[in-house]
Amino acid sequence: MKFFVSMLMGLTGLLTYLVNKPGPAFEIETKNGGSFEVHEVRWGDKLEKYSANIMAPVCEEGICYNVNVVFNWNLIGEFIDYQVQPYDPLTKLDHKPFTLGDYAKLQRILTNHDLVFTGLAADKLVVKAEDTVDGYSGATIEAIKDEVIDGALFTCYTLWHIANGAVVDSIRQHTQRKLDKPMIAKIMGYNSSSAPYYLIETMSEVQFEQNLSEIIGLIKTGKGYFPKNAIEKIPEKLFGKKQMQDFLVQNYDSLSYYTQVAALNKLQKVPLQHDLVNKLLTQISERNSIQNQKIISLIIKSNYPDSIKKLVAHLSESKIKISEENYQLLQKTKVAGIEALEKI
Amino acid sequence: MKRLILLSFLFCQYALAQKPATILVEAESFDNKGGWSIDQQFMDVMGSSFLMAHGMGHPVADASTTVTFPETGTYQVYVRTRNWTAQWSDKAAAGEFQVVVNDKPLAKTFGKENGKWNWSEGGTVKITQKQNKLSLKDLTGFNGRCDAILFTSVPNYKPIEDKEKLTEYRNAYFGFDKNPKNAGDFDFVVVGGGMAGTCSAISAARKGIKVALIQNRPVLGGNNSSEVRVHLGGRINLEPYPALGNLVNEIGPSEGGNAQPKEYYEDEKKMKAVLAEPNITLFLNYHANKVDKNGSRIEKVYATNIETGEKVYFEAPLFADCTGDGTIGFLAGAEYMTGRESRDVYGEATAPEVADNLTMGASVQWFSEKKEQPVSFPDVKWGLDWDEAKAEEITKGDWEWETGMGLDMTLDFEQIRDYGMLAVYSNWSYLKNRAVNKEKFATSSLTWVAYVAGKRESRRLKGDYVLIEQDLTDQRVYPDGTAPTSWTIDLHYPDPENSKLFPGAAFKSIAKHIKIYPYPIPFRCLYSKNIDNLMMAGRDISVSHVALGTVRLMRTTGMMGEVLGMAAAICKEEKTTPRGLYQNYFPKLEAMMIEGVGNATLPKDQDYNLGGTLMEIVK
Repeated sequence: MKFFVSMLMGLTGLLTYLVNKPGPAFEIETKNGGSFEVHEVRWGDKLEKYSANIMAPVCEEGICYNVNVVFNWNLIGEFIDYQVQPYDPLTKLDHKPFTLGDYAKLQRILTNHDLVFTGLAADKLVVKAEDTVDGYSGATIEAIKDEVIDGALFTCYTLWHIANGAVVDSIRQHTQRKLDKPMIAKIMGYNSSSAPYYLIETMSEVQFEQNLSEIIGLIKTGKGYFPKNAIEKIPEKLFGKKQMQDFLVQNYDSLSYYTQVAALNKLQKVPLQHDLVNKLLTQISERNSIQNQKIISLIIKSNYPDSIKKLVAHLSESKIKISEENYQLLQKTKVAGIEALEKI
Repeated sequence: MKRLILLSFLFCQYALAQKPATILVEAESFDNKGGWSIDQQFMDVMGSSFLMAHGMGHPVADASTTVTFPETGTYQVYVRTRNWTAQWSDKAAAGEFQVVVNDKPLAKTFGKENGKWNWSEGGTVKITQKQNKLSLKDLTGFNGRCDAILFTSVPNYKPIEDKEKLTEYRNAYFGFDKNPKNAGDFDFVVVGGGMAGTCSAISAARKGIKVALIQNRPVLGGNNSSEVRVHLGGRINLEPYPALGNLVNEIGPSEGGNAQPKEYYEDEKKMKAVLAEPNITLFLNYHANKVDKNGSRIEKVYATNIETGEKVYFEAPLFADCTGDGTIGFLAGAEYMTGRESRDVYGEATAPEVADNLTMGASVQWFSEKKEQPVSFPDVKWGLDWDEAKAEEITKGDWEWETGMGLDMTLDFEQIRDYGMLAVYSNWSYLKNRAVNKEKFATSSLTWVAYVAGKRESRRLKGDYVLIEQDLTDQRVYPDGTAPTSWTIDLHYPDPENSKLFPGAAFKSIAKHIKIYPYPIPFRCLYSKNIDNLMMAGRDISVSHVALGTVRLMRTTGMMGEVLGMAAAICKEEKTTPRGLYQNYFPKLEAMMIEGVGNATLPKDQDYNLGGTLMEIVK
């Protein structure tokens, strides 16, 4: 009887598990007509990564077999790593099993976006008979030999395209739908140059506001054109906030010229703090630039009479030219000394 | 005494029969070029363009023309030619040809003597009619070359060997210098029709100014033309000016690949784009080779037609040097740089300790095709010494077939190009005739070898700023940034393996790369420091040797051209110089760069050979 009860409880538990087991997050169809299911991997209630069991047919010189591996991706669709089923090792030409070195190389290949062979059509990977001196076809072309695992060209090619193909966009869209503050924090922690770009591309206005300190932190440390792109993506109304304007007062000098211009564009329609206006006043250079004209326009529109007076005096002293539009704006302020200014 | 009278009588008879006359015939001006090609690449050095029999081992069809002689009689013949392989081989010459008068070849075979350009004596010919057919008959298909043919009945005539004096003689003979024609009325003269020059001209024309575009070949595109066959490289539509590159996208070939069939390079796409601009007057086959200056300004640029020798001049307030060689700047006395700067000059980590002339080289690319039947290729005697270790068992030569590192890319360029061809022919001849695996190549036919070599580096004209490695690697971005460069700092060196086999004379190269973020090239690198009305786009802009490694890619040089055209329009509108634009009107250029000059609605098909660039999100 005890045994029967235990069995019943066990079966009930299994049934409960099976009924409540999370289904796949989505399914991806591969180019050869196959498909695989992508699952969310959660630690507790936090979405940690995505995972999929991949079963794909691969042929090396006419000999085909099924690759059976588990792939893992992070929240922005970047491939993390793979696991092989213990009973189903990867093999090369003539069914030779992968060596440890081959497994390590496959990991490097799957995470590399700078490879020539991944950009080629499958039929361009091997030498065609008409291109060879001896009419022999099927050999890996010279230019990609070092990139791939010898004897496992199509395994590398197929798996790379699964790891970095349509699944990436699907993961990114899925993450965007579920994006919350802990996930944003997690993505910010990624050691990946595309992670901050993902965030500025996908965050909502509310999320920008909730995470403004962190975004400002990314701008301070961002490389390349990230700071400019981030400034362009931050909703305009947030530039009216003290936190944003304080950031600009403190960091304007260290931003690149193009980031500065992007910030000036965003400030055009929001009220400016007096200290930011005074900061901008110090940024007018003797060399003519679009930046100069944008700063001049901001100072005039800020309506701080003392700043406008300082502006006119500075322009006049340093013989800095102003655009027709700014000249007309200045005339409306009726500040003395405008007539002496030179126009572009 | 009797004898003396007889001699005098004979002399008078002779004199009455034939007034001494000299007839000069330029080979490049032949009515029918047959299979011969016009080569103008070295005319600044050896004095003229010439005809070359580029048959890749198969003699080309005869070139012919009609020559009018003032008098019948006996003429001494001289042929200006050279043995181009003499500097590497004392065995038979590669390029041999005959001069044929009225279908009878002269006894002498030309192209066998004199390693340098020189008048070869061709014996005498009896001319019995005023109109005569003159032909060049190629005997080898290996780049025999003929500059000019001279017939003279002047006793003891010595043709002029000195290049300058010979040029004066030619000009006087044909009357070229007497009345050079004014080419027209222009706001902006662009010299060089590669990607940089073509984009400069189109951009300026679209901004409403009158442009002359001068190109010394029959096609546009330069290194990206079907004559050189290097595909475009680098990225367009990048921060901080994503609209720059729309014009490159418009005229760039949609398919990539080096040393591919001719159609890949879409010469006609570039030509159509230029011809569609009513503000451009195109001068194809004109080589700019002289400059008139007034103080620090260029007043006129003169150009010679590479086929007819006719001269024209161009007057304009503004010029662009898109020649790649910095030819216009050089002629105008612009400050320039060559070779590799030492580390001390700019503090660049990649620069050598000691300055040298190890420039990047020029590529002679080639390919072969499989045929149905076995195809022969001459077992050349004049080639480089070759053996199994040296044999490259390949069917196509890409960018890495690169020569001339350490030589002068202007003065030594004929030698540089020729050595590239010599290496290709030597290898192919070995594969076809002597290699252990020669059977593998039995049906392969050498179908295309470039004779216009693809140059990477030459003079760099100095601007108000010289772009250096640290600007790129440390992202020192300046407010006058323009076209963004995105390719790696990609510097070429002689291939160590090839150098072991060919000490001091490698013909293959390796590339070393340093990745960068897209970097906007300062406008101050795009105009001359000391020639007030000269701008540059292309590989001859103001950069160090190291920085040249990235800016030299053709999508980037095309974008420089887009900027130059915009700048030219502003210079006209504001009656200012490029420096004046930088100092006073740069906001106008910024506004134009934000707007762009190309058609933004076209599909973006420039997605090949983008190169490794550090993180950049494409919008």
